Amino acid sequence: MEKDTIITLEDNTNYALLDETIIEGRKFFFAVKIDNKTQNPTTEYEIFEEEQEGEDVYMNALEESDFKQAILIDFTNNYMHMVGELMEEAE
Amino acid sequence: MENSIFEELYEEDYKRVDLEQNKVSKMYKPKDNEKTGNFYMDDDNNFYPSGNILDEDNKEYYEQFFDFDIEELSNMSKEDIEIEPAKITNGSIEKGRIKLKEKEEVIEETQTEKIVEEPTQNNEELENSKKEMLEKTDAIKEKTEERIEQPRNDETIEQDNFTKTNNNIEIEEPEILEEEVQDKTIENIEIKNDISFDYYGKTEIENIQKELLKNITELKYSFMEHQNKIKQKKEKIYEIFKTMPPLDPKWAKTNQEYNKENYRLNGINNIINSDNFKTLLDIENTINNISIEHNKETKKYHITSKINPYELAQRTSKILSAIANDVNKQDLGSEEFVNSITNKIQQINNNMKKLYSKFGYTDLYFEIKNSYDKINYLKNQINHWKELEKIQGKSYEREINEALYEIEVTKNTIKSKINNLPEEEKNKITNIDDVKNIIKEIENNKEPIGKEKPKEQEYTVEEPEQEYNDREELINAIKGIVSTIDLNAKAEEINQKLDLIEKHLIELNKIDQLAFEDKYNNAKTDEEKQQLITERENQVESYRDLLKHENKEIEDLLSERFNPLIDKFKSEIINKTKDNPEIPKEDPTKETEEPQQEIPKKGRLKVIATKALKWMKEHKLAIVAIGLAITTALFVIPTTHMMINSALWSVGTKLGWNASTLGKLHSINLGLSKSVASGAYAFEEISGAYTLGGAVGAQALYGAGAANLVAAITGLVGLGTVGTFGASIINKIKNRNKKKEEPQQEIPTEKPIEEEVEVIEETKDKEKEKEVENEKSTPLTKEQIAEMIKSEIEKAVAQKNEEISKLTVENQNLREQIEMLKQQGLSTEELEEEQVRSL
Repeated sequence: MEKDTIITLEDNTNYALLDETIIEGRKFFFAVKIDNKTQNPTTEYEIFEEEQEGEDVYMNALEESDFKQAILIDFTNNYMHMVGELMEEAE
Repeated sequence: MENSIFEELYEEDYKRVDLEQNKVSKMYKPKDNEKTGNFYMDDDNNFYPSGNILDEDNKEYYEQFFDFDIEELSNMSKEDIEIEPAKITNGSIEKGRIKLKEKEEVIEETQTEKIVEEPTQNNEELENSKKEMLEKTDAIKEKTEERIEQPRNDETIEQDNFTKTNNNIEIEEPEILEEEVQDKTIENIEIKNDISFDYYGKTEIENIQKELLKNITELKYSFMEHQNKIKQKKEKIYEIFKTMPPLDPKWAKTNQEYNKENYRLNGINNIINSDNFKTLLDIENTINNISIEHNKETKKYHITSKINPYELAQRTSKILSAIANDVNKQDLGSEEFVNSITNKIQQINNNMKKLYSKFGYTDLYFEIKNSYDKINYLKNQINHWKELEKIQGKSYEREINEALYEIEVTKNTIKSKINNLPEEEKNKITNIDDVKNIIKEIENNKEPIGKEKPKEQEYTVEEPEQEYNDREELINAIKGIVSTIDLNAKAEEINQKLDLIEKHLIELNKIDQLAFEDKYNNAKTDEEKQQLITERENQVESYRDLLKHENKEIEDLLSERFNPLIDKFKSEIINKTKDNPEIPKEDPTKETEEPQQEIPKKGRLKVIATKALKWMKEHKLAIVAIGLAITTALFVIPTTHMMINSALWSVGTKLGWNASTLGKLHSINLGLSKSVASGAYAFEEISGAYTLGGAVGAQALYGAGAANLVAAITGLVGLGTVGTFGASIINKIKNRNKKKEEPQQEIPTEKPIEEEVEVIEETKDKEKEKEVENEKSTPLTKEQIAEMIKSEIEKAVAQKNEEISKLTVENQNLREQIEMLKQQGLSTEELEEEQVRSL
């Protein structure tokens, strides 16, 4: 699974994968829930851990924890990079 | 005297570290002499003699820097002597003074006696006099600082009255031996007083003792030094980092470097504060406390220690390995440091070996132990063959005779090697408990070669060859063996029983695991599977109950031996199921790896469809900014405040905001930071997170032009008011930029996300739109933009106040945690550091 993908989960919810990071070999995504009707992003955000089992891919939503906050730092850093890149393009 | 003269004559040797007081004093040694004339110097450039001032060889060095009368001091103990340190001031050396504290009558008498006794006539008398003087030095008890050369010649070494004089091994005093055999605990073994050393031997031990203390000090110093290096590096990065605008391409890298150094600092702190390190300090203390008593009658030295030197060396080696392992596991940022630690550990181990070999633990000792193991192995073999003879009716006489012969040869080799040792060495080695026991065993088990039957072994291990297929039988067999373990039995008997228990445990686990796998693979739901795993884990846990014993020591022995095995069973429960075919079986010899960190999860859902998404970067930025603002809202990320300030600074200055506006914006964020320390924690952190959103949004604003305003606005207010304010600002900036460029994108509307862009809510606030329209004709000044952003930040924060204060109640636990940290006396900086650490 890669970022910039919309995934549909087995409970029929859709998420846009905004960003990804790999920590100790485990892959995490920063995702926003997509409204099924309007197809627009909502204000429900999740951090998922990807789990691969054979052909199947599962998403584990993380609960609040120190670890989740640590991952957020990573996503924040990525975000700052994105901003930086955009600036360079603009210039 | 010029300082350069001191430097010409002396060089720094090593640093003496007092970890408790965090003080380091430098040791100096003469360039032309390794052993004598040493000094140490404190932070104020005061220096003191570190060796024995009465030693002739030291005297010539100390006289250069201290005034003292060797005769006056010769009979005094350390407590009676006062040292005024020599001092280096402005490049010159002020001479110090070594003198008596008070002159008492007793001292004077001794002095007189000493003067009368002092012979100077001939070499022999001189030698005796020197020896006497050195013996008195011993009374001063500066064990760690004494440095006495070895001027003895063979003639002056007296015969050891304590050494045995006959050349045969004698097994004497059985009652004492019995006592010693029983007292075999590692703790509190004292070096027997019947091992004595002459002056030469004593000096050698003192030198090794000093060398060891020096090695350990250097090791500790290396850790402290590296700890300081990391600390300084971290502070340096922080200094750069806090003034660095986040738009600087190096920002993220610097942030990572800071985190890395912080991680390293925690790593080395953990090692220094670890139990292993504390044990090392205990060991240092034990070495320091090795005491040397002089027996005036025999003129021999008896050395006692809390712990037998061989056991001490083993323990030290174990602790040092654990420390080395900790060092290797951590990324401490310097290969050089790791190598130097490895070398220092090696030096300590080598010196430990030197030390224990002085007490008879020589290569021969280990050879004797190996030979003894060999004898026992052969004896067991003989018993085994005898059993086979009974069962098979076949004769094993040839094998038995060969084994008996081999036993006899090995015994004789041991005896002859011991008897051929020099008397003193023989005395040392035969005083070691193990060797005493071995000799006793050898003497008590005389078995004529191949003629008489060897003694029946006192034990038999229950049916070692029997295979149990029934788990109940296995459980009973394990319990049965456990109940028969006796610590007074021979080591090999106990080992055989332990091996058999292990075999049965593995078999039991195999039966249970197969049954579990069968059920697990047939289970239909995840809940069912989870239930089975829990049951199986409990089952493995119950194996520990089989190892219970009324004797605590035996139970500890069993736990120590089998807990790792049972833990391994547990870790393998799920790995062997069909659901995990890709997981390779673990190598049983390999140490179990650390379990992955448990991350709390809400639940797991399968991905059933995916779709590629085409982003417009600006909108993605906006969505991520909102996301970060929301998901960081309730927690502390210490760099948040730095990021906000830097972002504000960067955007503000580039837009040309005036100092007043910038100051106001900063004050919002700074207020938040300060409040963290004052206790109003959750509230401000949430506000901070919203402000963060604003800040990062503001960067996007500046960086990508008007189209990025959506990001800026969404970031600014976090939630709720996105659309309204976003639209108004977009329009205003668009107007401002009209002359320069055409707008890159339209204002986002509610387009389906997969078509092109994820669109932020469009404004519905008509009043705001009107306001925007009114302002279209008048391009905004930079100050106006800044003022608007500022007022919106304030408004957004204010709007959230009520909501936030509710959340603060919910975060009571977090508050309590902070209060606790504060009670522990942490400053604001430490508090923030603590948060970094906890992350």
